[in-house]
Order: sequence, then structure tokens, then C-alpha cells
Amino acid sequence: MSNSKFNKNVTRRSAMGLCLGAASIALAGCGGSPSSDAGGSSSGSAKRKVAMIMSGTITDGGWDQGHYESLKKAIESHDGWEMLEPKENTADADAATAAQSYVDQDVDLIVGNGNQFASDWAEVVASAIEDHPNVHFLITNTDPKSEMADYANLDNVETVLPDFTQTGALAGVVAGLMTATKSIGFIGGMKLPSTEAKYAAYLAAAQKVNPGVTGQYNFEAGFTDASLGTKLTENWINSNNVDVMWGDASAVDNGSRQALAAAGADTHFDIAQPIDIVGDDQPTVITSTVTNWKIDQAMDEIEKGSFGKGNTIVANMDNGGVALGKFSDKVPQDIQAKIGEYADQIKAGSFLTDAEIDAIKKTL
Amino acid sequence: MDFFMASLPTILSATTLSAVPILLAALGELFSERAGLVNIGLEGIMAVGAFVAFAVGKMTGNLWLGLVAAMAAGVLVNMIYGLCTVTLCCDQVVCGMAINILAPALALFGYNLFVGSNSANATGSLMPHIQIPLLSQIPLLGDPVFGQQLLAYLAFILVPLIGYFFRNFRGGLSFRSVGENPQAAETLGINVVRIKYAACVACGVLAGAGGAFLSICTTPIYIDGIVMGRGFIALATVIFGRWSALGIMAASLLFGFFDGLNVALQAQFNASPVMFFKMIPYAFTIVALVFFGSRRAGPKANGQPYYRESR
Amino acid sequence: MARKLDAQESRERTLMILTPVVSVLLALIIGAVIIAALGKSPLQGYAAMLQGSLGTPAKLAKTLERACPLIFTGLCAVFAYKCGVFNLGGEGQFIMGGCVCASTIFGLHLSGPAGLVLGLVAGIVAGGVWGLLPGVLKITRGLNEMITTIMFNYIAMYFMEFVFKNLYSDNGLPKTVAVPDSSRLPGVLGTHVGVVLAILLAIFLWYLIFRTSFGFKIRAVGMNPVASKVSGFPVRRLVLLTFIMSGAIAGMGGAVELMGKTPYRLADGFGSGFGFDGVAIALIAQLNPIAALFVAILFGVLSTGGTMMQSVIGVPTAIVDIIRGLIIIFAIAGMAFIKLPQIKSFIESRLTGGAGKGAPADTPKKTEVEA
Repeated sequence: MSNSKFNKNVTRRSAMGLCLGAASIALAGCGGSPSSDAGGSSSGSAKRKVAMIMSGTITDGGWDQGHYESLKKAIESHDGWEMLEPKENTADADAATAAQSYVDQDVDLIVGNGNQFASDWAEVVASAIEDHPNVHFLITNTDPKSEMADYANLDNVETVLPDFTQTGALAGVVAGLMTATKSIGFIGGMKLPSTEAKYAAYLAAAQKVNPGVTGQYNFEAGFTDASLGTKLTENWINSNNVDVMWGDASAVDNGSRQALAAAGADTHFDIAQPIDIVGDDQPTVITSTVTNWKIDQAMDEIEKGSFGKGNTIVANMDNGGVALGKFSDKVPQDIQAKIGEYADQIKAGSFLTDAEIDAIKKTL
Repeated sequence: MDFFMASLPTILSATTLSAVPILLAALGELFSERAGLVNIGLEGIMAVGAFVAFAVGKMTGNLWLGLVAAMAAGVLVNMIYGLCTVTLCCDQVVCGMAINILAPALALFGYNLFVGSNSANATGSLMPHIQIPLLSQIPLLGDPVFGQQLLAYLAFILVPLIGYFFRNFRGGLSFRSVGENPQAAETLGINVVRIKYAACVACGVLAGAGGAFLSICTTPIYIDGIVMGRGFIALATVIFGRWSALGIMAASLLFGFFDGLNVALQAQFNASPVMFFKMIPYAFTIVALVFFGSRRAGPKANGQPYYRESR
Repeated sequence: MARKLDAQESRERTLMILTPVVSVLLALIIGAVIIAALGKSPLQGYAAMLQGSLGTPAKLAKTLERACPLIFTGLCAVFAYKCGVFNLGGEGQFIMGGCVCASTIFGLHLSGPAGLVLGLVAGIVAGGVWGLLPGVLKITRGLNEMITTIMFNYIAMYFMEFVFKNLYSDNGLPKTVAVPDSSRLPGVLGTHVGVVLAILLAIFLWYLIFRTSFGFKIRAVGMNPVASKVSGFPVRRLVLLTFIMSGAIAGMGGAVELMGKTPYRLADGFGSGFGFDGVAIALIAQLNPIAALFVAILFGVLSTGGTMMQSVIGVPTAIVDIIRGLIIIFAIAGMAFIKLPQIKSFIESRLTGGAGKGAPADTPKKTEVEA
């Protein structure tokens, strides 16, 4: 009986809602089209589908953006694949449900951006092996030996592990050659074994090319509080004369760059990670350590039927998984050449010894 | 002590950087509570302010337009609160909580639409620092105090103005009487409802500006969760500052100082469990309230709904 | 006269139940408008939401599992607010429950039922203590618990970091080792027994609040502390007890979540957002424990089903949060509105004798909302 009343209610209120919605859509219209490039349903053919689940957003300037760009690259080189709209801002409590929702849709490959998904997905993966054997899981930054003890069966799972030593050493060589004060810094979002491994190689490499370099670090800055990055970096610049920073903490790195710029972009430099962002709008960034999460390789393996068994795809300099990005013109040509020489050594594995890295790790 | 002396300049500049957004939001809350409205939705309003300032600033290339838009958006969001608490006499805490859940979601949704997969839109720009000649050369205090961004100066200039407003202006006194005893105020011919809505507008403007500071003065990005509890800290500074503009400024500076100390400790004692440093600002807030948060201070009718009928 | 009063009362009750339902529908409709404005199909989206949360017994079990911590934090808020205590610290108490439960199990190397029972008790105690602290501050120093409980939330969050990064880290990873198999909550019908515990707790609290003299005192203090004091109720002790019990409920939730749900570990994000969700649940449920149960399950549906909806039609995650926020706003505004012109409508109903006009009384709200 009261339906009509409710409807009236609805139209007026939803009008209010519409205004809000319309306002934000208008915003979007001016700014740039929302992401509709994904999930192309037009192609009727049986393309394989890939979905990506992340904690942040695809424009975070760091971790998740790096994953998204790796995925885009993989899609570009694989005609038989299409990607669904990436699932952003996934709360930990919903991580398993998010994976399950793609399992239900028979998505061929589900990518989880980071090892936080490894612990949340154990049940989903186990049940998918039985109900949806064609669904494959790729979890990045995860060491199956130490992090997947909860998994009964790894037949449909692989992980990706970048060569952290190479990444760290590349950044360290650049930092060691560019620092004028022999003082460098590093901000990590979370104290993971990978974070420590990266920093140890970073400092070891910097000391190798420039003996006496000292390092400042913070491994627990999180990934969101950009102002913390600013304040930390400012502190290091003032107290420790730090003049080169390398970051692994998405938005926090952005804050760090503000402090470097405030101290003078001609003498204070940042090495970006994991995407290549050298450009005019980033005056302090001199180069980037770029990580490609090798989703293309996972796709190849699925096509060939060799995916699974808890294998680990190692992303390194040989397969393009780890690389240095463009240089800004603040890096002189002769130093670029030197970096190139060291990079070859790093690639060959002849640059740093395990002992040198372990010596740093012990101090952490 | 060596550590402290070496870090002091950085702590001081971090102090002002941390204090300004809290100060702005707390001043907004001051208007609200002076008119008897406890608004715990500051956190949500700041989130919207931060996003709108970022988006409009990026779109128009003019950060001041972004700031104005953030203030307008803050008012818009706070009108939901005003409508519920003033007109409908809802519980104020409840409405504030609802704003805290709804507003960040709106901001995130806006961000999804505005930035989406277009990473070119993800980074905006920052207000320049303005060094006041001579004064900014003063050792130690010079740069933190006289080398800030214009919005920060404005925030500090607002403090004595707002203090003066509440003490000497008719309008300010009306505010106070509404917060102390709305029934009596009504009999004196003060339009209680109008004053309360005015308070909501002021609160929305200032909290929106506080949020904007985060995305156009601190870092040129918006990110979900950027407010990080600053809205709640602002609430505490109002109590700690005993509902006076000057007290609030002192309280937010003190909070900023402890936040700066937290960062300095994190920066210099790398290997220690830094989570205990991160607790400092929050633990300090509790300690400060224990010593200075008087139970009897504050507007008497604060938090109570006002029913016109019950006059 | 008496008959009319009854009619008035039952009408009001109908309205109080109707309002949240209408709020949910309204919020969903606005959500649909937003989805449609994005060029996606709201029908398909909502179908996916229902299918994903209630479609199969297994999905229903997962939804209940997702709702379980929210039931606890919701009940925590219900109990506190009944006594006029604005405990916004459900999240901190939940986290501390999880932390101390974990520390007890890992620290004493417990396993088997001993681990389960002691872990649960430890969680309850820890939650109670974490609730007691702001209670003491309120009673001795008159500090507003809204602010202190939120500060304690942050302290608990960082303390949890210490537990999972420094105390019981799994191979240096930022998560604790897993609770041993033998100490996990047993499964029941695809979910864990903690869900049953939560439901029983809701029923128990309903009985406690509405059917015992203790509950009567709690409610009396919540409605009018001064009058309660005059009547000789030990107000301060009751308030303190409320802090403890409400904290203990949340703490139990933390222990249950840790021992009942994959990954059976503490890690970043454990308990995140549950406290405020609990507050919202309590308010929509109008401080009724049984209603809170259902609202919490609705929130569970929104979370699991919403996740499904997003991945099927490809819309931003924020839409579900917006819907949730709107439900809360509509519900509280609607309920306040019903209460607001109480006297007016009472007189009106007496004059016109028009009981049973439930729906029309609902209509002026809309003009008011726009005003």
C-alpha cells in the first residue's frame, strides 16, 4: 500500500544522490575518462581472462601501479588474453572473497599483488583445485617455501619473486655514484624479507662503488602516509646530510620527493621504484629501478599447460624482470656509462658477494 | 640529548606541518561545539576536502580554486550532519559516525572517477613556501615559523581572529549562548537553529580546508586514508585547548611537536621497534587529556539536541 | 485511551522496524542509480551480490563468517550505548583480544583444547582491560570516552604490529605464525563455531538487558544517570562494568576471529574498520542485540556480495561503502524523524482517531530532509 509513497521518497532522495553522482562524474569528465579500457566484452571469441587483486589503487605511483603496468604489457603481447577491471582497495577481510568471486567466473589467471594474499587465499585455492581446475593463481613477492605452508596443494599456484639483490644493487650503484655527501637513505613500506634484502644490496653496492657511504633506513613507513615520507626525509637531510633517496613505499616515496625538492632538486636526488617515472614533473627523480612482474611468462605457461606446482618465476635482469629505467639529464654521461658497466657485472652476478650483503643484513 | 638537539630544527618544522591541518579542523570544531554540536565527523569532512582540493586544483591548475572547492564540499557534507542533528535532532555522535563512513567512500569514489587508470591525473601540485624576509633567517625558529605556505599562515592568523570573534562580537556571543543554554538564547531573540546551521557551515569550511592542506600543501596526491585519524586528534585538541582558539592552537602545536618527535625517533633509531614511536602522538593525547582535560569545561549544552518545542 | 496508546505504540514499533528496511532499499536504489550512471547494469550487479553472498550454502557460510566479527563489535557497541557509554573503541578492544589470545597461545606454546579455551579467555580478559582503561579515565578524570577510546584504537593497532612483527613473527614476515590446527575453532556447516557463539551471545545479551534487574539498571543509567543516582543505583560502578563488559565482548570477537578464520594469524589489517562498522550496526539496530545480529549479517552480505558485484560488473569498490554510509544516514535520520514530532502525531492520532496510518506518517520526512 505504501509503495507509491516510497517511490516518491526514492525519486527525491535519489535526485539528491544523482546530483552528487553527477558532480563527481562531471569531475571525471574533465579530468580523464574512467578506466573502461579493461574487460572488453565486445570480443565474442573465447579469450582467456586475467584478473588482478590489489590492496591499493592502480595509480598509487608505486606497488600496485607497477603490477598494473606489468599486466598491461603482458596483455599487449598476448592476443588471446583480456583483463577484467582490476579490483582495487581490497581490504584484508575481503581478500578471500575477492579471489572467490573470480574463481566463480572461471577466470583463467588471478594475480594477487603481494604476499598478504598468500595467507588469505589458502582455502580459496584449495577449493578451486577441485571445482575450477582451469583457474590459476599467481601471487607476487612470495616465497613459496616459507610463506605457503598453509597450502595443501600447490598445483594451480605460482609465485613471482624479483631478484631483490639485483634491484638493490642497481639502485645502490646509482646512489653511490651520485651522492656528494656519502650519505644515502631508503624508505620501505613494510618490514619484509624482500625489503631488507633490497636495502642490504643497496647499501652494499653503494659502498662498493663509493667507499664510506652511510645509509639511513625506515622499513615501516606504510604505503599511505605521504607526509611521513616528507618528514623522515627532511630529518635525514638535516641530521645526516642524506642527498640520495630510494623508496619502496608508494605514496610515502612521493612525500619523500617533496622534501628532496624543498632541499634543492639539483643536489638532492631520488631513485624511483618500481615504475619508470623520470620526467619534467618529477624534478628530483634521476632514474628508476623498474620491476616487471612477469605476468606474461605466467600466461605463456598457462597456454602451454606448464603452469603450477608452486613454481616460482624469478624476475631478474636476464628476463627483463628487473631493470633500470631512463636517466634524467642530471646524471652525467660518464656516470651513466659507469652505471652501465656495473649493471653488466650485476647481471652476471659478479658484482656483490653474499658475504658483503650479509654483513649489512646483520646490522639491521 | 645529542639526538634531540640535532633533530630539533627538523622536529620544529615537522611540528608546524603536522599542526596546521589539525588546527584548521579543530577551529571548525570549535564553532560547532560552541553552538552545542559535537561533530565527530571531522575525519570524513577532511577526507572529502582533501580529495576535492586535489581534484579541482589539478583540473583548473589553480590550488586556491581547489581550496575554495574543498571548503564548499566540506560545507555540503557537513550539511548532512546539520540536517540530521539540528533539524531532525538525531544523536550527534551517531551522525558524525555516519559521516565518517560515508564521506571517505564518496571521496574514494570521486578519486576512482577522476583518476581511474589515468596515472597522469594522480599527481597534482603544491603551494609554494613563502619565506618572510629577515624573520625566516632567525636561527632554529625562523624557517619553521616564517617559511611556511600561505594557507598555513592563514590558519595561524585565523586563531586570534576567531578568539576575538567569540569574545567580543555579538555573533560570537550568540554562539556561546546557544552552546550554553539554547532555551535562554531563544528567549533573548537569538535564532538558535540559524546559529547552529551557521556553526555547521563554519565547521565544514574549516575542516574542508584542513583536509585540503593535506593534498595541496603536504603532498600533491590524494590517497584513501590520507587523513589518518587527524580528525579525531582535532577533536581532542578542542577539549585539550579548553574551547578557546588560542588553547587549540597551543594544543595542536604540542601535538605536532610530538608527531615530529615520533618521526625524528623513527629516523634516527632505525633498528628499534618503531611502532612504539608511532604510538607517541596518540598516547600523548591521552596523557595530555588526563592532566589538562577538565571535566567541567566546555559549553554546557554541548552534544544535546535542541527541540524547539521543549522551550 | 489505553487501546489507542497500544495502537500508537505498535504503530511506532512498526515504523521503527520499517525505517531501517526502507533505508536499506533507498540506499540500494541510489547505489543502482550510481551504477547505472557508470554505464553498468545495476540489476546484474545486485543479482551478483545476492548470488555471491547467499547463492549457495557455502557462500552463505562465508557471509556468516564475514559477519561474525561484526556481530561481536556490534554487540559491544549495543551494550555500551545502552548504558550511555559511547565506546568507539570496539576496534582496539577487538585487536587487543586477538593480540593477547595470540600471545597466550604462542607464548605458552599451547595447542589442543587448552589453547582454544585459554586463548578465548585471554581475549575476553584483554578486551575487558582495554575497555576498562577509558572507563577509569572517564570516571576519575571525566574524560570523554569517544576520544580516549579512539586513541586507544591507534595504540592497540601499533601494539598489534609489535606482536606480529617482533614477538611472534613467522620467518620475519609481518604476520604471526598460524594458530595450531588443534586449537582452531571447530567448523560447523561450512563456517566456524564462533558464529554460533556470536548468535548465542546476542540472545544472552538481549535477555540480560531486557529481562534482568541488572539490565534494567544499565538502561536506567543510560537514559538518565542523575535520576539513577538519586534512586540509589551505583552509577559509577555500573558505568565501569559496562566499559569492561563491552570491551570483553569485542575482545572475544578478536579471539574468535583469530582462531576461527583463515589465515588464523595476526597480520596488517586485522580488525581494521570493524569497530566503526559495529557502531553503525548498533545504531541501525536501535540498540537491540537481536536486531544487531541481523544488521551485522546484512553488512556481511554487503561485504561478500559487494565484492562479488564489483568483480562481475566491474565497478569501483567505493560504491559498496557509499551504500553502507547511506544506509546509516537514512536509518538514523528516519528514526530521529519518527521520534521528533512524537507529541504532534500523538495528539493528531488522538484527534482523528487514526491509528494504523503507519505509512503516511512516514511521508513528511522527505520534505523535511530536503528542507
